[in-house]
Amino acid sequence: MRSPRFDTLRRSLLALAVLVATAALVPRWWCGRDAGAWLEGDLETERALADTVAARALLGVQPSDLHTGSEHFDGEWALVQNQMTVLGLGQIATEHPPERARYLPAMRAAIAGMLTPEARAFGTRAWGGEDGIEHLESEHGHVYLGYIDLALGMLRWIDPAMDPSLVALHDRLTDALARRLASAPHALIETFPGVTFPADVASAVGAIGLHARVTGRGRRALLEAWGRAFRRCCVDPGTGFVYQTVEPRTGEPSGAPRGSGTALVVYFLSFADRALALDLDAAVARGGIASFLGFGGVREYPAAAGAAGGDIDSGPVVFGVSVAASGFGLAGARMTRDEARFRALFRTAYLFGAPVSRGGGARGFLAGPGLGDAILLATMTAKATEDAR
Amino acid sequence: MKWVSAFARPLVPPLALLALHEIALRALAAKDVVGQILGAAEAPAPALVALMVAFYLVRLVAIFVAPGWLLLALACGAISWRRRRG
Repeated sequence: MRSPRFDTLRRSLLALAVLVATAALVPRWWCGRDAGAWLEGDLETERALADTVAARALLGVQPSDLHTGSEHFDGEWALVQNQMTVLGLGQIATEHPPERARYLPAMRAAIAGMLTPEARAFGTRAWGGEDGIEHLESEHGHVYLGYIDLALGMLRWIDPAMDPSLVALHDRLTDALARRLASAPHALIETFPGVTFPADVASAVGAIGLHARVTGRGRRALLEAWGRAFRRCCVDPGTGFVYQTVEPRTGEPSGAPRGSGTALVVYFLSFADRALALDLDAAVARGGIASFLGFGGVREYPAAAGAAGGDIDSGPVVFGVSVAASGFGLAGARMTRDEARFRALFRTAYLFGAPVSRGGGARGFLAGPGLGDAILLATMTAKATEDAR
Repeated sequence: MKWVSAFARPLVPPLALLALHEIALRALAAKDVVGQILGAAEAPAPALVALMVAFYLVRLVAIFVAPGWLLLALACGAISWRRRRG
């Protein structure tokens, strides 16, 4: 005869087994059920987020729309939001050409937003009042202009009737960045006086690569020399990750190798130097992925370099994994068709991004209305293109 | 109708949790609370952080625990229903 205590214990263990089994199986299925559609470029799935991003771009995104608590970062994030909007919508248009007409107005609006003096005022202030666009002949770095240049290149790729004044600006801006890249010691252009963020330089290099694609005027020698210098100065030999900041005059690292910068460099370089982008992405896949129950994230500080807290670049860092690195990391996983990694990162984006309906079939993420939506659209539609440098 | 109530009663807590999660998700989305915290250059107000932490705790429970909880509740409900009928 069984005692009541034995029955209670048996029922409790059975209940615990059911809870553990469902926790291990159901969330990974539920949170990852759209991952395959994103990986395969399913138009309906992409449209749900793209329409949200496009609607916001049409309203106009300026630094005053961001609320970081810092005028400087409001400016930076508005620029990134507009750039990622153009790149994400442009990538959908290249994959599904009939969508061009649907998204071109929003892409043009985002470009217009990037070209206002207010949009780059953070850089103008940092360079002592010198407006980067108005002084393209200057020897000062202003490499954040690469974000604008890359977006212009995407618009030019998509829009055969691009405004001639924008075409001329695209050419002049690319020429200026290429000239600065060629003359900079260690091929590192300054973002602000005395400081270089390799991810910003990568945006300029990506822009030069995309300019070559759309115009047929390549700069192969420059980009090959740059790639060698970048590997020497900006890539940590131990982890394969990119240093977050580098001293522009000496080429010495001034910041730790980090996941957020590395994953963003991978995405930007996909437009210019596929081999380097793939090498960096392989380093992320090899030593930068943390996973649990099918959910994955990109470590902000790879294991070899120790751990530290988050900042404005990484967002919150939880168990060593950062919001920014994991969001940008989706691009490399999609570009390389690394399905397991993409699914793991996607599940985490779903879990913590918390998708919400925005009405009319459109969807967005609770954790990133505006900037986060635009970044995820760009990274979840990223694809590796053949070099056209 | 007692057997219906016996079947449904165990389902109430997990379903209430899922409803709470959905309401919180929509309310936070309308106010953009999480976006403000994630994009902040300086430490946000402790009350906002507490709100975000509370939401994510509810979300984690709703996604990781509620499915198993619902399954157990269904099993409990079925057993109660059989006892009442049998």
